[in-house]
Amino acid sequence: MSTVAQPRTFASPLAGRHAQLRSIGSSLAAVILALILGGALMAIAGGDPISGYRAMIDGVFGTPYGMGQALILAAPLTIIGLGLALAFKGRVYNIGAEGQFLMGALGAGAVAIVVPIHAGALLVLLAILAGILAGVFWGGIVGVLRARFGVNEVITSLLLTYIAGFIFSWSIRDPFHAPGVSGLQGKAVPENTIFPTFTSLYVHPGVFAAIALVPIVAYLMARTPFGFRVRMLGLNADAAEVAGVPRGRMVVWLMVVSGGLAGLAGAIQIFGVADRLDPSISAGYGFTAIVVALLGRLRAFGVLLAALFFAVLQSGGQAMSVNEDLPYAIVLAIEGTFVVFLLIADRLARR
Amino acid sequence: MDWNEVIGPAAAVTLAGAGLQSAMPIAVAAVGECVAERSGVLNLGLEGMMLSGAFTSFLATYHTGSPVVGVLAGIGVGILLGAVMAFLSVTLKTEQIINGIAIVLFAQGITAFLFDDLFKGSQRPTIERLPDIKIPVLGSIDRVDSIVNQNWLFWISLAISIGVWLMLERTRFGLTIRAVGESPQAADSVAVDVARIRWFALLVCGAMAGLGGAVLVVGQLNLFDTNVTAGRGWIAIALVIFGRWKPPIILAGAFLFGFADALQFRVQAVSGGINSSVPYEFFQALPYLVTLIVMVTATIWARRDAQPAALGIPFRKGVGS
Amino acid sequence: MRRDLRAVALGLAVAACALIAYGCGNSDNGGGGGGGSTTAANTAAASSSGGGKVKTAIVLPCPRSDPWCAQGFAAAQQLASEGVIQLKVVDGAPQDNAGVAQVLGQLAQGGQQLILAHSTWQDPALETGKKFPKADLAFAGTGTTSENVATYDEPIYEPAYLAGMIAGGITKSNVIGGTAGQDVPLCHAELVAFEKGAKRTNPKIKMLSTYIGDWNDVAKGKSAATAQMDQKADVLISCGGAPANGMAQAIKGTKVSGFGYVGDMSAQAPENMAGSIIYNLYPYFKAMATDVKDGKYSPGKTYKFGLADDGVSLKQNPQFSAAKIPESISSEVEKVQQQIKDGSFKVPYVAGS
Repeated sequence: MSTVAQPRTFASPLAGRHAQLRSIGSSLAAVILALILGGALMAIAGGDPISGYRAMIDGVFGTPYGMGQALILAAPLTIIGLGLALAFKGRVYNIGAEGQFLMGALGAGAVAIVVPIHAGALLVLLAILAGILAGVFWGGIVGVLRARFGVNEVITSLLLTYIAGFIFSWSIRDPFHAPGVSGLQGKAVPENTIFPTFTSLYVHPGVFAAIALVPIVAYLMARTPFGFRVRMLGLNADAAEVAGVPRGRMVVWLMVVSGGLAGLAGAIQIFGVADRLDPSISAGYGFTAIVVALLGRLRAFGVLLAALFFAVLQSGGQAMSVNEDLPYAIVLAIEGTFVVFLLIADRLARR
Repeated sequence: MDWNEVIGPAAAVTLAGAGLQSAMPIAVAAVGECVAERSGVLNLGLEGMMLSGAFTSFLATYHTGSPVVGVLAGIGVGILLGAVMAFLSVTLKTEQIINGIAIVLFAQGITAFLFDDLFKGSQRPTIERLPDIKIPVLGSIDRVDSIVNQNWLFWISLAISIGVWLMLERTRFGLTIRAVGESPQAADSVAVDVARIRWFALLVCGAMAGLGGAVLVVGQLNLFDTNVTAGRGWIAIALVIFGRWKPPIILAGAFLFGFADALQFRVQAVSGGINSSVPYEFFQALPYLVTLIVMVTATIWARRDAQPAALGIPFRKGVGS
Repeated sequence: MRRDLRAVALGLAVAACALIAYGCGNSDNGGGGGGGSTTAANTAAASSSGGGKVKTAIVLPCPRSDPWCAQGFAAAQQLASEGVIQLKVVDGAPQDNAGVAQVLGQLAQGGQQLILAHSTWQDPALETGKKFPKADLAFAGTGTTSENVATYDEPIYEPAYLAGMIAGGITKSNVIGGTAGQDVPLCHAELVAFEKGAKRTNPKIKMLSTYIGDWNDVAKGKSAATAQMDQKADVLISCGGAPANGMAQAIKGTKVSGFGYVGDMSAQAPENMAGSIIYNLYPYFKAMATDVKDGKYSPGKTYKFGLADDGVSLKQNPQFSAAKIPESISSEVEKVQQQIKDGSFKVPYVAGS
């Protein structure tokens, strides 16, 4: 996370070439080691590594439906990840994206259910706006607390995530409970607000929105005064302040933007995937997005790649666990292993 | 709503006992995390280390019948994961946050898998409860006994937490650890092996996390379930920040949280439970709200940032951070 | 920048190698492309030669030692050993609905005729049902059904009433308690029935109710039960796996009695468990498998087998000191149980506001 200036080494061109080959070689070794360890885990669980990996790839790339599922999973990770990349770049550690996501989902769902507008498109737009605002609000609290009072944003955003969870839980148990259901389930949103699916991949518009946001955020980060100020803040906050960057306001902005993006992701999940206010609307996307943002080295396109990597890993893992008769738990262990080795490989490739 | 039932003198005492129980696993892990963070490493793998310690201690106690072996096994696994974290973050210098989260993923997966696999046939396996140690005078008083009559694991973890606190704050070695976290370059320039200190700190952190998991499972629940730690590791990390990286405040914060957590159940029941007009989610949120409010007020009051300067940044010899 | 490009190039190279290896490795399957459809074709061919057995898959959301999953697994296993079904078990499902839908989709694609989504997975089941109209699915808990998706109810409030009657008879403090994950209609009905049953044998009782907010946190379950015990409750019941297990651990070794949930939990605290309210999935799964076999599954129904049909029951713990339960209470419970069975008494179902 720190951008460290490497000391210059003067060496012969051939030594440079050797160094390059060595670093590529060692990172390749790391990747292979990851595959071996993953295979070992599969074997321990009673499966066959080769067919396990085959099932993973098949599950995602074997059918258009599978590819679509991976994309649908990547969408919220991308959107939230973009916001977090921005925030982290400015050293604002928003750990509460999960809570902002939930509030966004709640806001969007509530508006869609309650507001008596019959035009589907209009209602959806209104609801998504509400979701974004909910995320903005939830993130903004954290930002203001840090900017105004210097309260550490890691702990406030984390605690607010728990609180958001309770608020969400209450709303699907009481005001928005699905009538006639004996378990915990929220009301469905109106039929005409649910996203249609496109192409044989069965993806919803949220996927396109996620992809569209990538170049926008990239541009924001690299070519706008705002992005410049964010980067300065991240490099050296004190120097940035001396240079005229309004530190407090930037902190609030970053929390607001990352919160709003997380809220947007929540709203999209409601209309694209869940179709109702549901307790399992998130599988910890807000937390996974932290890893995605960091793996993507806080760059917009990096976030997209990292999100896709995760989505393929997750989707493929699920497919594998069903087809190979492996308990789903082993997929989590394999994910953890892969992430670690990806990091190592990345580090080795960069040396 | 009969408040006397909840915080009247008799109730308050049993409440304190319940709060202590709830707080202990988190407190132990939080003090360990404090050591790691003071040395400059942000260990987000705490939840995974606690969970692994919980599972291993349960497994070992179940098969050997000895809780001592179980607790030691739990600590051992914690140390192992601490070493993994140290290898990744200190030796290989890869991104600390990701390393930690990856460890949590891995631990959650492996413990869930092994638990289901090894205990497939049996109906909810349990282990023996540890006997309470009866304290001479106080332990005989009717309600007070629930506070003071705890089992040996409770006392040992309390002692270890205090011991680590003293080591960190009062010894020369602790000073070295803290220096490494504030300015590794300066420490390096006076011939302190930064990497070795950080390794040690992470091993201690892992050990205490494993111990925290063991306290939860062997000392309190007597059973294991997938994800039995249920996010306590994350609360512990939050408490380190809450406690401004000082163990005594961290311990106080853990107790505050545990107390509020135990309280909210009583308040729920008294406010009518199933017939309550106040949604019970509000009470459930109480510990988190309380912690948040105290955190905000304390920060405004103290007006200082206590975070170790080099937290989260890998140390490279000879290069400015 | 150059270093990043190197990393990306490396990644692409690895991906390329993987795809090549995959393509090469696939040659023994008769050409790559559409591995998914090959598997489907294979298993679809296999399913027709099942020999009259219904190809059934059950998806479990918890470890098999959890009572909910243990009961589901046991029922499915029994049907398998009777030759009614050919069983495939999927252990440990993902957390989110999208993931579950994917799992169900894989199973349907793999040729499973009956898919038992053993949790409140209404949306994934409906979604998968729409995509795979030839497969039959079922999920737990009441909700919306469709042409090929059924649901199975859990009328656990019936034996809870009987448990309450016993509780009213054995309580010494006249305070009883119930814990649950959340106040959902299922648990609401159970706790209310428990209270009503207790009031029937002991009009003086007071009932405490607490929600732990989490279906999986056993420590919280124990904390909640202990809190109720501190408030003088001496007979407890619970709704949900973690609350139940926490309660069992809380009462063990004390003077408090309790009732297990869904499975027979007496072994966890033999001296303290008066019994367990049991959810027996065998009649449910059997009815579903039979309907699939006879082609009578559509439209999907809400299967409900109460006390009368042995879908739920109160199993008393023989080790629980018989002396603790007064003879008058025991015979009263017997009487009411018979009344429920022959329909002359209906346990009130209160689902909550």
